[in-house]
This record gives sequence, structure tokens and C-alpha cells, in this order.
Amino acid sequence: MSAAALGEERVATGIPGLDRMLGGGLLAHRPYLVTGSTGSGKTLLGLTFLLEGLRRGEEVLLVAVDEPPSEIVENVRSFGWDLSDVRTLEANPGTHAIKRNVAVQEIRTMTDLKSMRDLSQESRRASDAEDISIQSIQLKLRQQMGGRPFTRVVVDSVTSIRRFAVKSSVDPQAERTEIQSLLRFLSECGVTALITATPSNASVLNPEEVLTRGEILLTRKWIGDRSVRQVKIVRMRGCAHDPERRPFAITPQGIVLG
Amino acid sequence: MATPQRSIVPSSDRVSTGNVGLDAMLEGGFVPRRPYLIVGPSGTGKTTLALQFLAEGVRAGERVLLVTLEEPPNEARVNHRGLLPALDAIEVFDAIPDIMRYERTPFKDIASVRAVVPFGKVPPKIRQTPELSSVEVTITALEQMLRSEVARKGYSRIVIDSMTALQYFCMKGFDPVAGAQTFLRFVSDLGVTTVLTVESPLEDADTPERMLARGEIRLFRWELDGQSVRAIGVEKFRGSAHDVRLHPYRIGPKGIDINLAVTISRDTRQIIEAPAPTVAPEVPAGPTTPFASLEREVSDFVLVGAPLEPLRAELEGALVATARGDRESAQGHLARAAAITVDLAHAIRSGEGASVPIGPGAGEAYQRIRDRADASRAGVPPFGLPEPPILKGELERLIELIPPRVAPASPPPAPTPPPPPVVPTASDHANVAPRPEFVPPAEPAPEPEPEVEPVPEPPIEPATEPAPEPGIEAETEPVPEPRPEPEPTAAATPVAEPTGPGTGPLEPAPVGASEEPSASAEPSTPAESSPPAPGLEPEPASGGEPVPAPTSEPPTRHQPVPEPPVAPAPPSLIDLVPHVTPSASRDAHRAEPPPLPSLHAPEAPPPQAAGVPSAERKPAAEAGAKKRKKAPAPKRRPAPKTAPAPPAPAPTPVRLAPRAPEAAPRLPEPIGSPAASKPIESAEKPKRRATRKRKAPPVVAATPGPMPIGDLGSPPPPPPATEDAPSTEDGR
Repeated sequence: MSAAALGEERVATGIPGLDRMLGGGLLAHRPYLVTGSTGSGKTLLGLTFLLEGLRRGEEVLLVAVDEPPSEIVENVRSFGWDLSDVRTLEANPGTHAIKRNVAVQEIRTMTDLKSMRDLSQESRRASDAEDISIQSIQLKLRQQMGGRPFTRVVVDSVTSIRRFAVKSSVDPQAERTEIQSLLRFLSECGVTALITATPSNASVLNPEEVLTRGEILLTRKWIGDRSVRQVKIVRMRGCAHDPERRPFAITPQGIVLG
Repeated sequence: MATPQRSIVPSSDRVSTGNVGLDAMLEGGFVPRRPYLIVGPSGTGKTTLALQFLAEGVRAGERVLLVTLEEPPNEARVNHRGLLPALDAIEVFDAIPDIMRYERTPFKDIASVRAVVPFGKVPPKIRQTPELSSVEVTITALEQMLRSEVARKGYSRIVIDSMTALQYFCMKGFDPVAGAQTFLRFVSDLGVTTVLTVESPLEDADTPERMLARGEIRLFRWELDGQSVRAIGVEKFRGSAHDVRLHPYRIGPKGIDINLAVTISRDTRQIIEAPAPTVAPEVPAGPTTPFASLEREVSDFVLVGAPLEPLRAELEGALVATARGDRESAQGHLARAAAITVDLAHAIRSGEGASVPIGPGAGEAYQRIRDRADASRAGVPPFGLPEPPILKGELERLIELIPPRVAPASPPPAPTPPPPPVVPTASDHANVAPRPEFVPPAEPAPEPEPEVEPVPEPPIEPATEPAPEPGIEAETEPVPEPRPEPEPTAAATPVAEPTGPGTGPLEPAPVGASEEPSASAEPSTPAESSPPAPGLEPEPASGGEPVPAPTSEPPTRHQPVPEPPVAPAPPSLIDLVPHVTPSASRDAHRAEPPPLPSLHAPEAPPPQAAGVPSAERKPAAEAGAKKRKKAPAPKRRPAPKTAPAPPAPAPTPVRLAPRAPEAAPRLPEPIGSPAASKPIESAEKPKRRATRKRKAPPVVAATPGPMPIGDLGSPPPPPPATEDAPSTEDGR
């Protein structure tokens, strides 16, 4: 097959049912979005994806913003999963973030004060503050790429990155540009990435929605006292896919899809 | 379509959008040298539609430019490989900003750093940001670049994909509203027909570009009852009348297929208007499409003499797994089998792998294989496995298709049994019927008429039965009218006829049987009427899709379907009649609505005013009858097997069933008793039709259905119907 040559290389998600819905897997080297409310299984899907990579001898990375990695390890112990080979970049805010939050507050105040006087000064400062986290993530990744490059990366979650790492409420342009830059960076490095996010307000167009090449939606609803989980491929560029909602379950073996 | 008086620009001066359905909605296409918007949420096909527009330019020998700000060119090429080869001649400018350098790097102007390259020269890997510098894309630099490139190369079509990304990433320091306005203004001044895509999660957001553009095409995606509904509408079109209705569409390998025959309400998002034949409520999802398409493909490969051992091995593996009850494994084998067919098609297209053509029909088979290779999208569509007994039957039939090694291609195909499932729906679809007709004619050529008559439905739905025939004929000969596309279909069918004819109505034999089981099998009479089996569910993802839609791109698909291999009929006959191959027939049953569409259209009208003139139909029908008579070809083979099968298909005609093509999952219907079914069907048909009319197609059905339908039926009639029927409104 000339699939690789044509750029049609597929990447297995680790969930056979999902691969089937995708017509064989995700197209390689592209970023994808996994959306769902809390508890819908996004992180689990991401971890399954990483473990599948490990199984294939790939180098994988988890950028953990939402949950501290130590907790994630605990959480998946019941599945019998061994995450010890999953590289983790802990971008969890923790106490640092609190400090930084304060700092940001200060900058904002200063911004107000300075904006009248010295616009260029002010904008540089603001952007310095905003850059820190995404910049550090990107730099860390760049260092890693020197050795054995990652082929799978999960960023959990971009919603939190936006909230904690990018103090860009001041300037939506900067936020978009940074996320654009990060996703492009991953693509250029040949990484197949899953970016998790909580569903956004329909009236807001987040940059990750524009930039990712596909979106997998996880939903959960209650019917009586039974929770019904469903997965749906909202969009997926370049591959014929199953557009219907399909039920899935989280079992002791992980995510199982029809 | 275009009523010249209504538009300021005669349709001959319009710029085709590259999409038949959209051209019809726009009464001919875009007015030249103006900017247009394609607006819709992410993943609705904006880029695809825009690329169709450019590919059309390439085909017309124009120079065209894609400015991409969202999708890297290498990915865009892969994602739209169905548009090859025209795609490769599209010149693309990669205006995606580089990775941000946090260190200070020399600033470079995008216009000075990057150049326009044709898609064909885009490397397979994503462009890498240079080590020492990164490029910032600004709107001013982009404008500068566009101006000079247009002056230098004389582009006649430009696509900016997307305007949203331009606003998001390239307007630092600009007010987004003023920036968008300026850019739109700039684009109008370029004097080039331009399409800008706009990402818009909300349907009613008013943005500056919406006010400035001369036309806006909007893509909708809703979810109703867990099913996705996609619809397209022209929201604004200055200087011309246009179709103001929303029509469902589907994204296929060759682009967007719009089903003009179905209209969706803006308020309820449900289908408010659809051709009568459209939905057969009870129609089960017919046989799984993947098998139908696999059969077609395999038959073609056999004709061409391609090496099929690996395929056979996978199929046998699947059969063994099925027998073991291991569905997972069977699924795996099937997926691999499908992958093998894709590879084979590509190999053959590139000149490898094909061996000496065997037997008649090899040329057509070769062409179909190449078309499929060109059309194949990434990956193999997901397979929905039918219940084990059906799966087993399908697999066995597939394996049977593959000759031991040297077996002549043509024979094998013929034998293939018809798909079982179809039965239930048969009545619904007039469309379905048509195909059957094709087949039947061939076999029974002489008796076609009788069959028709026998068909009990005259009173109620005479149209239906007759319709099929007419349709066929129409396509073939009589209807000279406008539908070019339909013809292909017809052609396909005809072939079948030749084959069958000899056999006689009853058992047209192998091929016929497979194709139109119903017709041939039971035949003699009702068969024709029932034939429509095709109705089943054309849709499935598989290439076969129903899509015959006249409007859009049915032709291609159609072609693939039929398998001419038989070629038994006298040449002359053959020429007249399209060849129907067994496989074709199957398709028809299951999923191929395409041929039917044409038929449908004719039929439909009577019942519902679909817009097709009844007169036409009749003639067509008559013509068809004649043809059949002529056609009576010698039967190639009597295929007892087939005979039974046929019945089943007949029922299927439902093809309209909008179901979800993709899933293909739907119902596998039991194949079993064809004969029994047929009779029943014939009896019932009338009723069903009646039902149809009354019932409004269920929304759900609509969703999936629409697409198929569109493909099928829209074609010929569509233009007129659409434009005229729909209240044509002026853009202004």
C-alpha cells in the first residue's frame, strides 16, 4: 500500500470499535479534539490511545493539566494499566498557579494604568506573562523531540490550559495564536495528538475547533438510573467515517465500543 | 434551469461551481468576478465544496489558486484525493503561520518567503518551520501577494480557506470587523470569482463579510434524534434567481452530493418535500452496502483478471470466523479484504497488477476500477456486520465470485446470487424497480411488457411499475432530454439486458438473477415491476452509494455498478442497452439507487408532482418496452440460483430509504424466500405506494435518506424542478 506515501497512514486508537468508526484509525500526524463534559471518559480515551502507542513501541507523552499525574495513575489502577512508561509533562497549576494568578491580576491592573501612557511597553509585558505556560510546554516538547521523538501526545485538557496557562482573557488574539502555534508544532513534529476539551458555548468559536482535523464527542446521559455513554464522530477530515452516535461502556478492560 | 430573463447574467456566462446540485440551485452557477461565501460549522464540507469549485476551473483549463490558512496543503491533498487528478493542478498558497518562536527572530514577510505551488508538488509531509526564522502572516502581506500573483498569473478562480482563520490569526493589530471589510473589498476589486469559507457555529451571526459578499452558501449540520442532518441552502445571491430551499447533502469522495429532490424545513429541520418514491417507511435497510460494493468490485477485478488470491484468503478467513461465531475476527478479515480491493484498484490504476483482460466487458470493468481508485477516500468505510446467517451467505457468494484462478471473469459474476435482504421494501421504490427492469429486460426481453402488465399495480400505481421501465428506457433512448447522467445508468442496465434476454423472462439467468432477482425470478411478470429492488438502501458508504443522483455525480457511480462482463447480447443490442451486470443488479437491490433515480424521477412525478412530466415517463416506458423486446438476448446462463434470489430484491426497491448510508448497518433482511416474497410484494406494492404518498418521510430517514435519494433522483428533473418549482426568488 502506498498509504504512507500518500499521507494516509492510520494510527490505531487502542479501541477497535472506534477505529472501525474511523474507517481504520486516525490519520497520522494530525491533532484531534476529544470533547465531552466531565466524567464522560475523555481522559480514559486519551490514556487508551497512549497505551496503544506503548504497546507498539512508540514514545508517548501526556501533558496533564487537569489532573495531577499521580492521581491519574491511581485512577487507572483498577483497569490494571501500567502507565509507568508514559512520559508526563505536569502542567498542573498547583500552588504556582495561584501565585501566578495573583501576578496576572497585578499585571492587569498595571495594564489599565499604563495603557494610556505606553502601549508598546504594556503589551510586551502582558504577552510575557501570557506566554509562560504554553511556551514552556512547547520548549519542553522541543527538547524531547531531539532524542526519541514522541509519536503520540495527549493534552488533557486544552480547556484548562486556556484557563490556567494562557492568561489571555485580555487578548484573544494571543490565545489563538499560541494554541495555533502549539498544534502546528505538534503536527510538524509528526505527532498524532489528542486534545481534550469540555464542550464550549455554541456561540464561541475556540481556536482548537478551527485547528484540529477532527472531533470526537463523548456524551453521557441518564436513563432512569442507568448511565448511557455514547461516542460520536462530529467531524473527521479526509476519512470516510461513521457519523452516528454509538454506545460505549467503561468496563474493567477499559473503553469498549459496540 | 436558468431562466435567463430572471437573472442578469445568462446562465451560459455563469461560472460553474463544480457541483451539479449547487449549480442548479444557483441557476447556472456564480456570477463571474464576484466574491462569494461558503458559511457553516466546522466539518460540514466548506473546504470540499470550495475545492470542487477550483477543480472545475482546472477542468475548464483555467488557472486557479487556493490560499489555505487552516488545513495544511499536504493534508488537504490527502483529504480530497477523490478530486484527483484535477486537484493536482490547483495552485496552492500555504498561508498558515509558522510555529511561534519565543525567541526574537527576524521577521519575514510571508509574501517574500513562500511561493505558490501546484497541489501535485506538495510534499506529503507537513511543511517545517525553518530553524532560524518564522513567518508571520499578516493580512497586508497576503493582499500584496494576491495582487501580484493575480496580475502575474491571471487566476480566474480563487479560494480563501478560511476567512475565519484569516481573522483569527492574521489580523493582529487590526480591528476584526474593519479588517474583514477591507479584505472583502480588496477581493472584490481583484475582479476574480472568489470563494471564501467562513466558520460559523451560529446560524444567525451577522458578520461584515456576510453583508459584503455577493452571495452566501450556507451549510447546516443538525442532530435530530441522534442522526446527523446536513443541509445546504443559498442564503443570498445577488443578480440572479436562486433556489431558496434547503436540501440535504452528503459528503462523498468526489465532493458534496446535494439531493435536490428533498427539501428540509428551516424551522422544523424535517423533510417537508420529497419525491413520492423516496421513502419506504418499512423499508429495512437492505442488505449491507459494503457487500454490494465488494461484489461489484470483485466482479470487476475478476473481469480484468486481477490477482485475487489474497482477497479470497481474507474472505475465507471471514467465513471461517463467522462459522466460529467470532465476529470480531470476521470483521477484521473483511476490513482487510476491503483494504485489498482498494489497493488492487490503485495498483491497477497505476498500471500494475492488471493482467490481460479476460472476456467481454473487461474494458468497462477496467474503467470502473480506475474510477473507484480515483474516488476512494481514505480508508475503508466501517463495516457493519449483518447477522451471521446473512453474513455467511454474503461471504459465500463473494468467494464464489472469485474464480479459482483462471476462471473467466464473466461467468463468475453472473452466478452471483442476488442479495436477499431487499425484499421488504421492494414496493416502495419505483426506483428500485428500474434497475430490475434493466435486468429483466435483458432476460425476458420479449416479455417485458407482459411482466409489466401482470404487475397488478396498474390501478393504484401504475406509475410505479411502468415507471421503472420508462425510466430505463428513457435513459437509454427515448428520453433524449437533458439528463446525460441518467444515461450512464441506463447504459449500465441495458447491458444486463443483453445478457439476460436470451434466457427469457423467467430466468434470465445468472446475471439477471443476481441483478434483479425479483424480476427474473418471479418474474416473468411482476419481476419487472418489482425490480426496483434497488431501492433498498443504496446509500451505504461504499462507493456504490446510491448516489446515482442524476444531479450530482451519479454517473460515475453508476458506471461502476454495472458489470458488463456478460456481453453476450448481440453488439447492437448491447449498445443500445446498457450492460447490466449481475453485480449491478445486486447493487441496485441493495444500495444502488442511482439508476433508479432516473426511473424514479419519472415515476415519482405522477404520484407526487415531483415535477417530472408524466408524459416523458410514459414514452420512456414504452421505449423501454421496445428495447426489451429487442434486447432479448440469449441467456447466458440459466441460473437457477439466481432465480430465487431475484424475488427478494424486488421487494427492496425501497432504495429511497434514506437510511444512513454510512452505517449500512441497518437491517439485513433475511434473504430467504424470494419467491414467496415476490408475490406478496407485487400484491402489496400498490398499497405501499399509497402509503408513501401519504406518509411524510420520517425525519430520520430523511437524514440518511436524503443523500441517497438526492443522488438518485435529483438529476434530470432536478434542475427544472428545483428552480421552477421552488419558488424562485431573486437574490436581490
